[in-house]
Amino acid sequence: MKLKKTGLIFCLTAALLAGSGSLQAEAYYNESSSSSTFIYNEWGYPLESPDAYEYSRTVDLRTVGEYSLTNVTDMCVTDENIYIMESTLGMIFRFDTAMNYIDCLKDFTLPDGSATTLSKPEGMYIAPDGKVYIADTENFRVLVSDWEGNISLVVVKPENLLGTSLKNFLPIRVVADSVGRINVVARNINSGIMQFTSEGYFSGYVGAPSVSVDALSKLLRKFYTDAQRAATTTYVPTEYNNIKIDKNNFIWGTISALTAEDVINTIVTQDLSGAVTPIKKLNMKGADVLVRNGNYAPVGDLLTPSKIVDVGLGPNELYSLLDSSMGRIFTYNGSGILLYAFGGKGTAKGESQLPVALDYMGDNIMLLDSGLCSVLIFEPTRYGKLLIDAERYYQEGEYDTANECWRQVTELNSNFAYPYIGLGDAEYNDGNYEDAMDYYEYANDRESYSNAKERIRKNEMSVGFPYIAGALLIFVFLFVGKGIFIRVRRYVRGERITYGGGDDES
Amino acid sequence: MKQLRKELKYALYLTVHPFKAFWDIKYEKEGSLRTAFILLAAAIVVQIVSFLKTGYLFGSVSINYNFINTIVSSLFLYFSWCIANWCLTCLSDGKGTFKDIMMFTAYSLTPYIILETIRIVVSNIFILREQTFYDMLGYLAIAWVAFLLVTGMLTTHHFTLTRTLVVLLFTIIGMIVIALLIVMVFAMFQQVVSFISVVIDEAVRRVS
Repeated sequence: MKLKKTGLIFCLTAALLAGSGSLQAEAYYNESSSSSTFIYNEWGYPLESPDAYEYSRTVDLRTVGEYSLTNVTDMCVTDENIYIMESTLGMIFRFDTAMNYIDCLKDFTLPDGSATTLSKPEGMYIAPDGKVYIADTENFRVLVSDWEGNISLVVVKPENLLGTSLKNFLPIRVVADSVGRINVVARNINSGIMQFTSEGYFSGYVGAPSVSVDALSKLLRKFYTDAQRAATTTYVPTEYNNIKIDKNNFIWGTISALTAEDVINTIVTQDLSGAVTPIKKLNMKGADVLVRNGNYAPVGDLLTPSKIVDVGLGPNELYSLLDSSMGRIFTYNGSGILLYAFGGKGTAKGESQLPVALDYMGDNIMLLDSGLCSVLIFEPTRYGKLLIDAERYYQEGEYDTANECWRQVTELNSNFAYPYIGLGDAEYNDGNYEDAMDYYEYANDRESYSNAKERIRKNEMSVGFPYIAGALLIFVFLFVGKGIFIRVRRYVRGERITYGGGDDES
Repeated sequence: MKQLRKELKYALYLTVHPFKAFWDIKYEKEGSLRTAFILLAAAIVVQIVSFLKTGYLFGSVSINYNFINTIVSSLFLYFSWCIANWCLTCLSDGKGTFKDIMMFTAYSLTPYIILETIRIVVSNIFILREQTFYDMLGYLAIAWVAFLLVTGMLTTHHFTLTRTLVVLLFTIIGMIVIALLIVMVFAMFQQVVSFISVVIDEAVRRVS
């Protein structure tokens, strides 16, 4: 009963919002330059949400040790350390988890013994085994080194590079998987992520879009002139601007070279195919395996297209997209549902000037702000913690505990449809399909509702089928029998059989 | 009462034997205006029930549903159809009276009443995978009603098929014209009311 009431209020709010339409959304949107937390409802309008993360502190990086930093470009968080890359100095700084400065890496030794330094490096990756991978951008090379600066491998522009007019090789981001294969994002390469073997040989591109040609345009092309053919060649840019790698060797690539038109189209049509996407999760073969089960695909902002520059891989398959145009952080769960979005650009507490990198340290979010040359640290609130825990318990199969987390989430935020789906799923897995249906109805999740209903129907059918079938049989038997009986009687009496009319049956 | 039962039964018979039955309700006194109105009321009631009781999976999420809207819009559609049809068939040598038109129109709604009832029941049983069947029932209802309207017009007015279809098209245009006229009358009425109120206002101010 209590459930019904909450649901009604939820529906009413939704209806009100839908009714007052874009006006309300606009009003909220204008004031949301403050860094308050919000989510989107199923029609894509922003709704206020309790804060999931709160600003904890800022670590000023303008002076570290005896160096003064001006241009921080990348950050890498491992279990023990946090590494910051400074591009102008060409140095990597190491901090402990409390952001106390430990040491830095500046001078390198090439395998032949000669000394070298970095020139405007933009990205780096610290492997779990301690190897340092550096995208030494202006030296047109990728370096593999240890923390003493002993370079074990230099990757330069591949010789066998076909199909591009690449003059210089400008690596900007690099990651390595657990077997040492090196994945490089290079500026002005739009064929995908460059993959090198652990020996430094170029093995190919991954993550390039598969260009499909439909039958009609194939046919039309036969009749085109050469000039027309050249004009219709569609150019699909997939310039990755950042990559991350997770523990299971999935490569997460972000793309910001999307036209606003395409992104808006994806949002409006609620396209979940991932044809136009700022984030891809690539498997070994380079196929995008990101799950997009929300109402909208994970594209960041739904009202003005975002410029996604980094992805942070959080606990329990959560991931956060960093929108550099509005300074917002959008956190999705493994199913692609937006849990919370927060942050903003500005000078107030918790706001950034030019966010460039985002990483998780445990549950905390670390945001590297190049504009203020600092790291912002956000800590989860009780609400955020509940959402994170609920994900974990659900993934571990502890549905009761997950259930409890989601129940508390709904108490804190009844506008959020997703926990109701979670509660519904929990009930579904317990076999309480009726309760699950109630929850799914609040969340307006017709598909799950339909599945629960199917289970109920199946149970009912297995119980009631003999009776229904029996009743039907008797009914059919009587019906057919009566018809035969009437016809036989008429035939015996020698009457003419007439059809229809209604008056001949009395 | 017995007569009514017979007539309602005849409405069922009409759904499958339209040519004979439409002839009979006009010339053989097999139908009446009373039954026609009962059928019309049933159609409206079914429509309201469908709004309220269609299963969640197939229903609309509208919360602020007002059944008065359904009644008014249904009655408007019905009467504007009848009036437009009567006007046009008078001009094009139709043999049907206004009463005949009201009767065949209401009788034509029988399949809608039956199929929509089935749809309401079924919408509470079906799951999303069976949506096609649910939709199909709806299309079937529309197609059947349209077919009955055409045959009804054909039989009642002694038209050929071509003429029926042309008149049907013009009837729909006529309905739109009626709707426009009503809107215009309302607007003008509003103007008149506001004019009178302004005059009274002015007079009161002058006098006082």
